[in-house]
Amino acid sequence: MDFLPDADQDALVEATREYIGSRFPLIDPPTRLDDVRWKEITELGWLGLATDEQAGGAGATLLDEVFVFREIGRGLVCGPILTTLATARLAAWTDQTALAADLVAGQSRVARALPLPGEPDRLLVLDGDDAPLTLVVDSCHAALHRTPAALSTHPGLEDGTSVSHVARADLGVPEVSSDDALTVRRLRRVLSILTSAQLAGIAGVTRDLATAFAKDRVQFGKPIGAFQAIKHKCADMATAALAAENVTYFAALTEARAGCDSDYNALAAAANTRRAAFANARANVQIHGAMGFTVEDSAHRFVKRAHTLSATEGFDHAAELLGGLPSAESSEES
Amino acid sequence: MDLSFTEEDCAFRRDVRAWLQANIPTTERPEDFEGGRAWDMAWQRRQFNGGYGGIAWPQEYGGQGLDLVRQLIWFEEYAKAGGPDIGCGFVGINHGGPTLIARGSEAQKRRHLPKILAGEEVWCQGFSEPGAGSDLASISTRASIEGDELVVNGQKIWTSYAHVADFQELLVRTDPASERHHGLTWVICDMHTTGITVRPIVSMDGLAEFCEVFYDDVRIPLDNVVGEIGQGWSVAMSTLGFERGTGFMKLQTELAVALESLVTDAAELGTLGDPVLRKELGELRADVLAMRAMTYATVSSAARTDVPGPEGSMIKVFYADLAQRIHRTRMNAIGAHALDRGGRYAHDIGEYLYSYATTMGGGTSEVQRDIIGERILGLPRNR
Repeated sequence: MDFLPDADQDALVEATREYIGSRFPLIDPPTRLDDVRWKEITELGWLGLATDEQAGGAGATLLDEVFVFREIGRGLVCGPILTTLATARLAAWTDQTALAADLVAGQSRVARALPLPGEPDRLLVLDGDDAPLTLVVDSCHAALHRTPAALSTHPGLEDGTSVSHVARADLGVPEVSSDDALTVRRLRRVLSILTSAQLAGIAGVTRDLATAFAKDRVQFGKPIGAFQAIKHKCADMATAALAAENVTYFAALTEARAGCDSDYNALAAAANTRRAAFANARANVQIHGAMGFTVEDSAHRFVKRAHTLSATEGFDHAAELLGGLPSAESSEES
Repeated sequence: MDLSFTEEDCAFRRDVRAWLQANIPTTERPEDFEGGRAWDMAWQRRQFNGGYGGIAWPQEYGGQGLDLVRQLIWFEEYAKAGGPDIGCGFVGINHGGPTLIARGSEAQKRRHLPKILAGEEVWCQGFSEPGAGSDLASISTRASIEGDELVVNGQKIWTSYAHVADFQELLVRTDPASERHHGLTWVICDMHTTGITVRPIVSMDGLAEFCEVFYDDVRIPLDNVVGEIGQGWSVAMSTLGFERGTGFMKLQTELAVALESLVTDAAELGTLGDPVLRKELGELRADVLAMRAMTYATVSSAARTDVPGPEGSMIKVFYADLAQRIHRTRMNAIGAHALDRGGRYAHDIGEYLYSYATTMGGGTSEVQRDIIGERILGLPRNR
């Protein structure tokens, strides 16, 4: 038992952070992944680090992906990276290795279609630009379709993005689908854990940005971080971020175990990281004061990204689902 | 990163589980001071004789010389088996002993460590004073050096188990001209010495666990000083480091057990159908798992570096808040049972009331937040 990153994992984090810092600046960032950057992240292996090598992946672990997605969350990297990764995984698990390899190699982007409450006939598509394929994941069904024509396109919550409405009836026959409950739940856990990793990244980077600002900004003759009202907010951000990243590591490590079929730890990571990301994103806006309310600072972007991630994976329901599960299995302790 | 335990660790876990099942006391802990002490010490002695005293303590002082992972396994199994609260052995096992291991002289270690493990010595802590709580560095209890003795005058407070203790980790000001954290000394005080008066204080859970202690010309041999005269602050900080660091191994498992018993109670009482309660239980389960993951990280870090770092303050803040939320949720989930201190939830009501101490004991959550802000995040001081 050694619950700290090893040297290889530290190196992965460092290299990923360096790349993101150079290509996705927080000030005036790209809001769409252009083809050049898409190719770069494909070459970095982000679309299939933990996918089987026969299906074009790198044969690394879900935990390695967690480290990369934590950095994606920190750096607010845009684009359908997680959906494309998850679709490749689904293809690999359903013996469509050629499709999986194509997806891991970045041949096609995959958008995500989400149900709209109160509108059973419609779906909301995220990252639909340049994505010929669209993934739909319900509680017991996952399917990959050709992206249907948009009925209408609207500005997205995240600045510079767009979302489109499509008709469920226009989805057509799926290219790949699974009704196997175990496979669908496994897919949802991969989506969930890598979303938690991004939320943990948001919790961490907002702690860093708020702390740096609190050291710099002077009012009443001293840096505002000297005052407990601000210092204690930063301390709570640090605690929330520490919890968020560790609970995500825990979920990733237990998920990677052979035969794991429990949603418990993934739901726990979802509930915890959702709360941490929202609390820290909010505190970061507040500590930046009026500047944090403007688009001239990056603070608003973390709030919006947290909503995008949380709504996409249904994290608002994670706690209630977790509260209704039987007690945690404790197989790691037997 | 690796969450798996070795085959030897798993075998150790099975042995521990079997031993605990056969040995956990089945009698009620007596409520009177002396009876409670005898009961706590008998249980400590039983663990020691069973080969489970001081799992990570050095063998030459009666410990088992095992690593922190074994210690973690012991605590996890102990809590799951429903092992009793450590009671008046707490200070000796959790800070007095570890502080002596880190900073004590050879003679002090040989004199005290085996007896702490064997359940023959009860320790208490003498840090806080009426005028020095969160501001611990302002302590004013004085000790003058006379020959080969310290002569102590002053008062300590919030001293758990002082009324049944044999020894005390006592922090005194030995340099009268000194200020703040300079000029302090950490000394082992024999609680049976002439001039010591102890007055128990009843806390909101109805127990009289902590006390105030008065010192009137109390003479302590200089041989009892741990570290050097004037180095007391640094010794005290290592004491608190143990309390805030690996001390959470046991507490985090206890929380998990308390939460799952709350889920069971809610199911029995028929309140689990309430989606609001289910959501709250889910949030608590999420945070209990986060607490466990952070504890694993701390154990791994301590295994690499030996000394707990300031990140223990984050775990302490997180733990204290979580413990209070769990006990509060239980009070809400049991309805009118919460008003019946002689009924089926009497123990839980006591734990709920006690949980108000978690954001104070061992340094308030506000002080912890200052430490996190200044020592971890590097924010400027305001004092």
